[in-house]
Amino acid sequence: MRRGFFLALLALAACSQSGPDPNTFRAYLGEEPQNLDPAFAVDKASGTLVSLIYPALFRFDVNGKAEPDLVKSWTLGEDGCFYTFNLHKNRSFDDGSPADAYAAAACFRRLLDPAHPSPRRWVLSELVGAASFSSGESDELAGLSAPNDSTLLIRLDEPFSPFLGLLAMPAARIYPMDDEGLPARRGRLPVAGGPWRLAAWKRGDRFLLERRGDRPEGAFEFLSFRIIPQPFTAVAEFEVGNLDLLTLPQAEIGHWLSSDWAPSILRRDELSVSYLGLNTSQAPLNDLRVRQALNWAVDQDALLRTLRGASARASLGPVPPSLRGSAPAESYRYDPDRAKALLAEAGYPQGFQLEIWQKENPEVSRLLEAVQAYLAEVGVKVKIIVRDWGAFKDAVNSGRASAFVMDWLADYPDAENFLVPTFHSANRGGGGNRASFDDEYVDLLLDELSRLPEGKSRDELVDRLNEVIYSKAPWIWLWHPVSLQVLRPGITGYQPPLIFNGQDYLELRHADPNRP
Amino acid sequence: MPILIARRLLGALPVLLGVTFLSFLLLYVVPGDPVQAVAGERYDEAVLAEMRAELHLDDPLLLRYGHFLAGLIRGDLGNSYVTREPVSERIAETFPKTLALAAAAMILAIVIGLSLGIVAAARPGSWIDRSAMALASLGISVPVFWMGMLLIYFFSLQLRLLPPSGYGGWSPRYLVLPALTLAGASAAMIARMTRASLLEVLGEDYIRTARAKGLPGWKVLFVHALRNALLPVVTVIGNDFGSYLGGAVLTEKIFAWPGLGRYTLDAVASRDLPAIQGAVLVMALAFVLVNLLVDLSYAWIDPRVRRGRA
Repeated sequence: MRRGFFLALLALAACSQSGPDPNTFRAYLGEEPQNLDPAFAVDKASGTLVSLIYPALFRFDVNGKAEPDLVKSWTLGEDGCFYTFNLHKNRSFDDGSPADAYAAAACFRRLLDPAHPSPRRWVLSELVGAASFSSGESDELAGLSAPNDSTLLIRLDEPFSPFLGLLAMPAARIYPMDDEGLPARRGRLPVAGGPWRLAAWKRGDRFLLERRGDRPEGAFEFLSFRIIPQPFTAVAEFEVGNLDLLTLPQAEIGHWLSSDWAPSILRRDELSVSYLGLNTSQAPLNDLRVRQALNWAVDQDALLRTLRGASARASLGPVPPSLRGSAPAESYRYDPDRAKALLAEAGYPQGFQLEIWQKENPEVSRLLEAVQAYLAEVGVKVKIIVRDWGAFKDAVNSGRASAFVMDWLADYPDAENFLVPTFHSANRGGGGNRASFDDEYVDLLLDELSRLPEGKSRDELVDRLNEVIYSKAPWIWLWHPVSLQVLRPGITGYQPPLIFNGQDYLELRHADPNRP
Repeated sequence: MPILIARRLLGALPVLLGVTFLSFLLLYVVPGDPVQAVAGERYDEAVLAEMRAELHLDDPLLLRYGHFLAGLIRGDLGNSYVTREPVSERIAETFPKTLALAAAAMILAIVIGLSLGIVAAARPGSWIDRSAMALASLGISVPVFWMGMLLIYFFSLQLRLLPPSGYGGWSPRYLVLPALTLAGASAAMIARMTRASLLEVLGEDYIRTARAKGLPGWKVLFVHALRNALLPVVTVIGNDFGSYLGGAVLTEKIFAWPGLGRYTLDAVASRDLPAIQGAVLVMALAFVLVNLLVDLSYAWIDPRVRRGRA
């Protein structure tokens, strides 16, 4: 009986094997997108899809440069605050409505509208009048106007040089609206206007995108994203040929680098930083010497080598190497004696108890077990507290966690994004400054950084801030992740994007033009 | 019999109410903020306060529960905090997939488990018995996670017979591996239970009588013994099936199966209260119904139960 059953299973399995559709490029996402409404698309998966189906004034290219999309040309006034955008006249959405300056103004207004409180309101909060508009005090939004269908005027309170990068974020996408002021839909699918349209959406399973524009020879007509929450499963799908692109999970990297696939592996330094945050408002972590001691006590290089291998670079300050000029002149090295001396100087010759919080994640657990051992050597007894993501985030944002392991991912590729949200005292807690770092001098420099136009003095200020914050040790410095991806041979035109929504998949080609 | 069913269904109402209230209460006490979960990594406290007000999160607990019940009576499970879409739509999409997986797994578990159990009980102490029970111990002790990965490795990567994951738009090929993964532990439990129960029954007087009458061994085993030995087995089946309907979270995750378990797990992670409430309600209802079916099958299998109840 059992044998017959298995034979039936095998027979069932053997039939209906079909080859891959050569017109479809098959990628995947590690999690289900939360919300395809640009004003609420805060997670990476949603941001990726939103950026593919909707146009924007600017979009990131693979190297993170904000390239004009709906915008034909633009000027910035001499005060550094007044932008005049000239938009293309011939762009439209799938429902026929124009993707013009009026549509852009309506979407930006909605992002700030108190009637739809959007977590991404901060993206446009520097517009003149945004604060009183968002609080409902005023119907006027002086910093935003569309005098005609091809001109959009934006005025900021203060100059902000990465502003065009903000306009390339998922939150600043342009979409048509329905009568209720929500993104228009046809059935359950959003009405697109970007490089791709959503042709099918099987929730929890897959997205199928269809190219909107003309298809050059050898290009793909469709782009599919499976939802595969388990990294091992994605690896299996890639190996059996069901995926064209794979992001290597940490545990697989060594094996793949020594396999035949090695030449097809693409590396990209991610615009992100993994760190062990220290709550600088709590004793004993409010003492600079204690925080520095913790950095001296931990062997950053050894952690990097053993836990991350090829997939990270040491973090020497918050700003990733690609966004700064130089590294700090002096760096922490593994020196437990120096750590002990500093702790003694701070009044903790016997060390102290420290709770370090983490979300449930085996890689972070391995890291913290190692950190626990290093800190034990200098007398600091670490208690590791594991919580699920929701409870962990709550504890960290409210300041209850004294120390915690987190990642910070760039929203736009500018050093400011790694400095102002994360270390300005005005952004303590949910604003990004989870270490509750509060330093008047750093605040002053950060305010200046926000105002300075691009150029040499801004670059120098970035390096200076990076160095100052590095030495003040609000974090135990860990690393900047490097992503490793594998592309199926026979496909060209793919580069891992510097920023998560910087790949539009339009340049992908079959290397062999004889394949359809 | 219809009275029994009606009584049981009515009796289930307070259970369901209790379950929804308890999960409501639990999420109220557990740390974690639904608004933070949808706010991303950088937000303004003022916006969060507005979002909380918009979602009525500041209202008193009982008022919110009252709103939930009022919606429930209208057949409205509310909108997800995360996707802002009706929870009922997503449950209607995910539950059938979980049901298909659970049913397939249960059929596999019953077929494998009963076969092993009967074979083992027919020759107690023999090498067949010992190897069947060793297999069963293995089935119980192998973690689902590892089992799933092994099956993917063997059937998808090595033999290239079955797809590693996905649900493939109801193609049965996609169902085989996740169902096998899920079935493992149940099959093992059923096998052990069947063997133990059969051995007990085989020692009864009426079996000796049947054998004394000169009935062939297979007839004694299948007709006289098996039916009487099934009662505890059915209990195991009902329990496992009920819990599978709550979503086999790990299996659904490994095989990227878009079922209720994964949906619920995501909802819990983001403290998406309406989604959790809806899912819990459906799971509880499914459990109640399965238990009812188990009770009805007792009555069918064993006339004594039927008479006792009537």
